[in-house]
Amino acid sequence: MATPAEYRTPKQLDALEQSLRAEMGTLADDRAAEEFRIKYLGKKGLLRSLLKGLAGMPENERKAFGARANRLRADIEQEFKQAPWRSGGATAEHSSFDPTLPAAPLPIGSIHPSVQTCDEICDIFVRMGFDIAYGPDVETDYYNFEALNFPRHHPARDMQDTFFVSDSMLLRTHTSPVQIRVMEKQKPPIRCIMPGTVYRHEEISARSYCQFAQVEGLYIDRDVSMADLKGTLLAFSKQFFGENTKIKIRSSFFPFTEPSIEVDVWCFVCNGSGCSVCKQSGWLEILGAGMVHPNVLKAGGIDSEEYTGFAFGMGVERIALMRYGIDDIRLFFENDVRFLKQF
Amino acid sequence: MKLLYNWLKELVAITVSPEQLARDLASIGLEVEAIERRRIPDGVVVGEVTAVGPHPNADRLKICLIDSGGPQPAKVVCGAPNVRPGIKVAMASPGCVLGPNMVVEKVRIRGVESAGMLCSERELSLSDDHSGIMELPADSANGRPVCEVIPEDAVLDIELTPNRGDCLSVLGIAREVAAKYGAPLKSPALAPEESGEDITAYISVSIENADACPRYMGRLVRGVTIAESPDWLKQRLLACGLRPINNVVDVTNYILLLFGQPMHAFDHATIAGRQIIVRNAAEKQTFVTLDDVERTLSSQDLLVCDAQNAIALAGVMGGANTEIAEGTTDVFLECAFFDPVSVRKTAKRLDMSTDSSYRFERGVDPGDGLVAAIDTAAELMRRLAGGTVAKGTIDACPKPIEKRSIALRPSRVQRLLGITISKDEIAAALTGLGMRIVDENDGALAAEVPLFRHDLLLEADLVEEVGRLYGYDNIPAAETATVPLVRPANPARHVFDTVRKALAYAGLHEAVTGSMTSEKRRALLTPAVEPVRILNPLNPDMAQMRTTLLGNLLETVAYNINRKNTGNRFFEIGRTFTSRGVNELPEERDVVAIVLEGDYEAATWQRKARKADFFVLKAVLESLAVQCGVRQTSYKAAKSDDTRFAPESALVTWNNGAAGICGRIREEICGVFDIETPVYYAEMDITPVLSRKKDILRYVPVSRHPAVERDFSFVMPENLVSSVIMNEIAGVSDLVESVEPFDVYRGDKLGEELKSVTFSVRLRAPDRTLTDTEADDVCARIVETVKDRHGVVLRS
Ligand SMILES: [Zn+2]
Repeated sequence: MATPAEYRTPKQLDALEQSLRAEMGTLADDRAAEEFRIKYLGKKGLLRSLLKGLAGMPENERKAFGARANRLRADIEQEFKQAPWRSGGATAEHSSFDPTLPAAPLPIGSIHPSVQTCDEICDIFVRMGFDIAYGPDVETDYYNFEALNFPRHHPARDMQDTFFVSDSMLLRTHTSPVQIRVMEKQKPPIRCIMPGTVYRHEEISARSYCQFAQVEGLYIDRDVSMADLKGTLLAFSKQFFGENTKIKIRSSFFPFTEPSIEVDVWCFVCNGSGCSVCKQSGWLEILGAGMVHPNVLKAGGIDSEEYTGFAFGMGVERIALMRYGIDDIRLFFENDVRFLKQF
Repeated sequence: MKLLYNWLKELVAITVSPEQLARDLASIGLEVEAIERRRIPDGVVVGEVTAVGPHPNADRLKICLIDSGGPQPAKVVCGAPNVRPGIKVAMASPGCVLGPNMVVEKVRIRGVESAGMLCSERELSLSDDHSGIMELPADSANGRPVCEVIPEDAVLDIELTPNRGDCLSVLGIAREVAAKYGAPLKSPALAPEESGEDITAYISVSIENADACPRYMGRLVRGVTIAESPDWLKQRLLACGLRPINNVVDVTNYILLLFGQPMHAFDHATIAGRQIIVRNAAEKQTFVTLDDVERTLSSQDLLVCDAQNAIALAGVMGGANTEIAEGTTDVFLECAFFDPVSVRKTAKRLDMSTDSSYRFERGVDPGDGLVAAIDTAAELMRRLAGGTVAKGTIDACPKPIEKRSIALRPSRVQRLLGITISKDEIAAALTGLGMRIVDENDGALAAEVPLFRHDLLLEADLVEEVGRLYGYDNIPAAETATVPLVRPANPARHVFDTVRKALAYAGLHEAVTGSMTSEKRRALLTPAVEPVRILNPLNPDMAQMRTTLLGNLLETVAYNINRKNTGNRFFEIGRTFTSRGVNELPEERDVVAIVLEGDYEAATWQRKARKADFFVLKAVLESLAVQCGVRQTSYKAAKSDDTRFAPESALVTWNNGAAGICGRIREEICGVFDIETPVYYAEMDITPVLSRKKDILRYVPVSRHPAVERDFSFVMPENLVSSVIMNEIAGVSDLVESVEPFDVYRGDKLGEELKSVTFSVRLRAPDRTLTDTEADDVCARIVETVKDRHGVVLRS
């Protein structure tokens, strides 16, 4: 049997480590394992005695050797404890192996439900060939209203209660200003999806929050028509809500689209038979859309005779609320971990 | 806007149910928010009050005898102020169900048995009026079910978009309904029966600001008797949410509901000089409106004045000085078209929104509608309040509004809507909406737009008119689209996506928090940063845009600690804002914030808890860096000018670019959020680093030869960071494969300000097995170099 005195250099310790591992690999039963434990890991075992043979070694070498030896002993002990054969396998009568104990979990995190919803929406459009674009949260009156055909003293401005930063700057009330920013930078064809945070000067309640996420879409090319808009939104709805989804279109009004429409989706909760989510109507109000207004194209530097386009926008939290059956929008901003963990 | 179904039916003959009507209105852009069915319940009958006597035990209650057609009068206890002998009332008998939680029973009220209940309009769900019991027409037969006297109706609550000012009336909706169903529209206009002298003998009108008041009409009704309006009129007003006042004022409100035309009635006797002047107010002029509030005006506000005083805030509200009162005999009726922008500016500035200003802002009919409204009003007033209508109308029209004509190419309709539709079909749709079609030579139609459609300006607007009547559900959905083969990916989205997944896999929960914060919070966390301030915050806690995500995440941690959620690990990808002055948009950064508090890994049966500390935070960041494809990271102890962090914090670089800061948050800051445990936080601005073009990755061959491991314990001054020695060791020879500190020791034996760090060094050659001599040589050079450069020696 090896004695401590044989080990005096790091290289010898490397060799010892290798042979110990090899020997551990051959242990067949609990008895052999116990013998291994006494021989190497016991109070008088080799690994505990290694430091005793260091007398006469220079101080600095001894320190480094000692640290290395201690590390080796800790490693081997750990491996010996955890090695699966030590249980004696399934045949052992007095097994100490209890697989029903809980595993120490790796820390498990989560992605916020409204972000997941937003990502999913964007991914579907990316698969349809839409780019992604972003714009600033703090916008000019020009991009947020004027260029989008909201005249300065028009009641249409009452549709979106606004936080102002100055006379000409505000917190964007919708992601539509990014449409103009994209048009300014890019010539048609434009196929773009624009997610972002928007702000409304509204009291906070279970049904409304002063900020939320919106996803805007824009497609401009030669001969883009309402039929293309309908096809795109139907394809999206089928991907997002399920293959059997139907959509219904109503006339509506947004200053920056003409014609403007509102799109309702067949209620995926009750399949159209009526429930509390769809207020018994069988339909869910999901998004607003329309053909880009000629004035908006003009503001973006695009000839409305040559090009036509459609735009649409949807509120992410609204969709997430319906989707997960959440009844209070404030939950999205409270970040209670018991809530977040569920998604 | 509330619309009475039966009233609508007087203007256009329809057979559809209120529910179907609501669906059809929604499809053409008039969204119906709610339908309220109005049906008087069975068991409510007409009763005549034959006698009223005092209640023995209650001053405010009365005992009434009611003849409801039966052999015996019923004895009913009633507290309504208007109960009196001779009136006809609605009596609910025991067993009658008035609402979901309201069944009439025979009860004793203060010791007197009541055989039923006399109902108010609210109790019958007819209106919100609960000021007294409802009085029925005097000719109603006793005992007749009230549902035969007041027929079943429905109130549709219509939410109109701001472009459709023309639909803010029964007539406006009727026009849409007639177009939708192709049904004829019956005009509700009445022609006045005039008599006596011409109106010009009594009053004159002059307009000083024609832009703000393009048209002003007036009529005079003389010799009226102010009284209550008849029941049918009161009921219509109440059902539409207006309070009846007297027969004259009620007629103007009725015209408002029917034609959408705001009108004002002045007591003619109070108009000084028999003269109306429409002009702008003087700056700072004051004026007391009908609601008895004194308003301070600006020179932008338009006034209706008499020879001496202002008598109305044009289009917004009348004045208290010319109000119709009990003794009024002659009524001057105003019916005008005020400029929408002018009215809106005044209403906004004075923070007033009236039924009148609401309609003027959205545009009323300056043409035939104006005439029909004032004629009908005068005639109705004559019929209901007596008196005579003076001959003629004043029609001051200093700036006539011309009808627009818009060209519409059928090809454009087809192109925008994606449908095949003939020129004739298009023409029919537009005609149905009141437009006049002129065919032009080049194949386009020219449509003359009625004056009440202020929203129709361009060809695209007419396309919408065609589309909504054609029915958007009838447009086919396209199945294919031609798109470019590939478009550049957005680097920011890729970064967000990667970061989000990496941090969720590292065990962190993503939070989403608000972008607005308070001045106090910003001053605490980032005193040196100039914030973006909000002029009209919801509350002081949301008065500016955040400059850091720290406050949000500390709030999130505190919120969770309060709910006994332990081991808090969150991240957020969000924006911070820094002002660049009033003329430039602020700087916006997408930052990644990470917060750790309590156990990063909880204790289990197998191991102890792993508490969050600087190095757990660093581990998370290192993992993030690897996931983001970053090849090089470094941490430099942060100088303490960032007031958020305790000294135990570091600046982080990725690929040699500044990437953020990480460390422990100062206790005073945590204390403000009531957090007593250490909080570790990182705020990374990594988009710039990650958006840079990446180097092409080249593979390094893996050596097949064994490695030699050697350990070195160096005694170093505390202020020497281990990475310096690591770099030094790594630079000694190409044979050094890796250097890893694995033990740090401090103790009395070493002395103050000293630490011993043990480095494990792995040596390997790519092409051969190292000999002992080679290894020893490298080791000697390591010891020598570290000593030479840093005066650091091996621990003895
Ligand atoms: Zn449903």
